[in-house]
Formats: sequence, structure tokens, C-alpha cells
Amino acid sequence: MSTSPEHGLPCGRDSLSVWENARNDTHDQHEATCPYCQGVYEQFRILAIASDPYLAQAITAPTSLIATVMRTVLTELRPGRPLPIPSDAGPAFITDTALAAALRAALDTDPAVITHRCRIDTVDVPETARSAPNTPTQQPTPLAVQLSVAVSYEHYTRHGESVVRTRVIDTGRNLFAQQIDTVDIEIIDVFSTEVNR
Amino acid sequence: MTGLEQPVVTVHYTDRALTTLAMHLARTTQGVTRLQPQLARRAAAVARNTLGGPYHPDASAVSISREEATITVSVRLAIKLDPPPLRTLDAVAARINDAITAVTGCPTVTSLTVIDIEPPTSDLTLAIPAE
Repeated sequence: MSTSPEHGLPCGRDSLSVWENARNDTHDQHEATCPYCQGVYEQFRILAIASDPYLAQAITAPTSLIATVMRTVLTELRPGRPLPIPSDAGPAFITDTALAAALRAALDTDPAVITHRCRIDTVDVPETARSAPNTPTQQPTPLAVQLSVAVSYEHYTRHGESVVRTRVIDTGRNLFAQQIDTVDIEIIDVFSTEVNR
Repeated sequence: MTGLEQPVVTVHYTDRALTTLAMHLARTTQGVTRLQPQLARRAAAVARNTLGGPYHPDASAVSISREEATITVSVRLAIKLDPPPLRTLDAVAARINDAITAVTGCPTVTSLTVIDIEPPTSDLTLAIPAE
């Protein structure tokens, strides 16, 4: 059976309306006898056999759905400020929000720390020296990172700040060749990992 | 004049063709998780599909500009942290530069902007089972 791009059948009926009639079980005399319309009915029947069991199932959205959607929306609406990445292959940038996500991911590997807020600012760079996108020369701008974290009182040592600072600086340098000069850490809460087990 | 000289053939790649080429190369580079069009540009791409598609919405994450003989390709993308991001970015830029220079003969500069990071599998929200 062939149909035109406009969903027209050789008999003159529109395949979408025939499909809709099949779905609602409201066919007329023509559709009951026309071979083209019956072909559409047959396609509908085959699809219904395959899809009905799935349609009957209750849909349960994963708990992460809203977070995933909002993350995508916020990424698009607030893409962040581009920070230059030195590259021989051409100009490259990373937004401060994306860099913050990378730093968070690095800190997430430490069970003694939960990162609440990660803010990235440039350090003492005059407006005229800041690079705009697509400018040919890109030098990394010194950065200052402000972290708000909660720490585990079982695992967090008095050297914990130093570990966090080192991890942030190393992550910025190793992954994106960023020069992080300052890491300010605010400990806003403590938690027990024993409770969570 | 022998009359047998090869005819002069001029081949011109439209911005759309170069956009699609760059989009394909960027999306298929290891370490790139997705391209990230701006919302308005994605909407424009979808609207364009109704007029003269098909046009992949991801292509709106790519823009082409020409200045004299140089072609500049700008790409907004999200990448993984593994493989190392600098390697991924170099690979994307090299692939696009080489391909577009090869087909157009014009020097090409690719400007990349990392908009988002896909953390490695430690994304805790994915580990929470559906209720």
C-alpha cells in the first residue's frame, strides 16, 4: 500500500483520520470495505497488539527526572561566563558553571565532603584584559573559588581543608589548564556517615 | 587552444553544509556527550524544519562565520571528564579544522565553548531507584 507524503490514500481518504477512526472504533461503510483503509486498520491492529501491554502499564517517573530536566533548562538559560582554555588547536572556553560542575564531581569522590555551593570568580583582572569569545589569543585568567561544604565528622581531619584545596586546584589545572589562585572554604554543616549507612 | 582543457569547476560549501559537517564531527568525537544549542537557536532550528527541513536541532549549537578567506566555526558542547577534557577539545578542533580545510581549501579556526560537564558515573541522582 502506498501513501502520499500528505498521508492521502489512493481511495481519497486521509490515513491519519482512518487511523483515528480505527483507534476510536468508529469506521464508516467505506472504511469497512475499502482495501486501502483496511490496510490502515491492519497496521493499527498490529501496532496495538505490540503496544497495548506497555500502554496498560503505570508510568512511574524516576525521582531524578525533575533534577535532570531543571539542570538542562538552567544550563541553557544561565550558560555562565566563558573562561579561556589555552589550546594549540584553536580558541576554547569553558563556562564557569561547567568548571564548577567539574570541581564538584572531583570533590564528590571524597566521602568526607558534600559540596553545597561552588562559585568561581576571576582574580584582579581588569575589564579590558578579559577575553571575549572568539578572540584569537586566550590566556587563562587566575580564578578564585568559593566553596560551601558539609563535612563528615568521622572522616574529616584537621587537614581536610588542605586536601580540598589541593583537589580543587589540581582538578582545575589538570582537566582544563585553569589557574586557581584562591580556594575559600566555608563549612556550613557537619554530618555523620554512620547515620547514612 | 585545443578545446580539451579541463573546465573550471567552482565548488562552494554553504554555511549549512559546513554546519552539518562540523556538527557530525563534534558529536562523534570521543568524550563529547552532546552539543548544546541556545534555547532560542534550538527553537529556530525546529521552526526551520517545518519550512524546509530536515535540519538537526543540534546543528544550531554550531555557527559559521567567514572573514576574508578564513572560516571560523563556533561550537557549544558538553563533554565528559574522561577522556581528559583538553584531549577531547583538541580532538574536536583538529577534526573540524582538518575536515573543513580539506573540503573548502580555506584556513579554519574552531572555537569551542564547554557549556556543561557530564560527571562520571558518580551522578548520585541516577543511583536512586524509582519509587
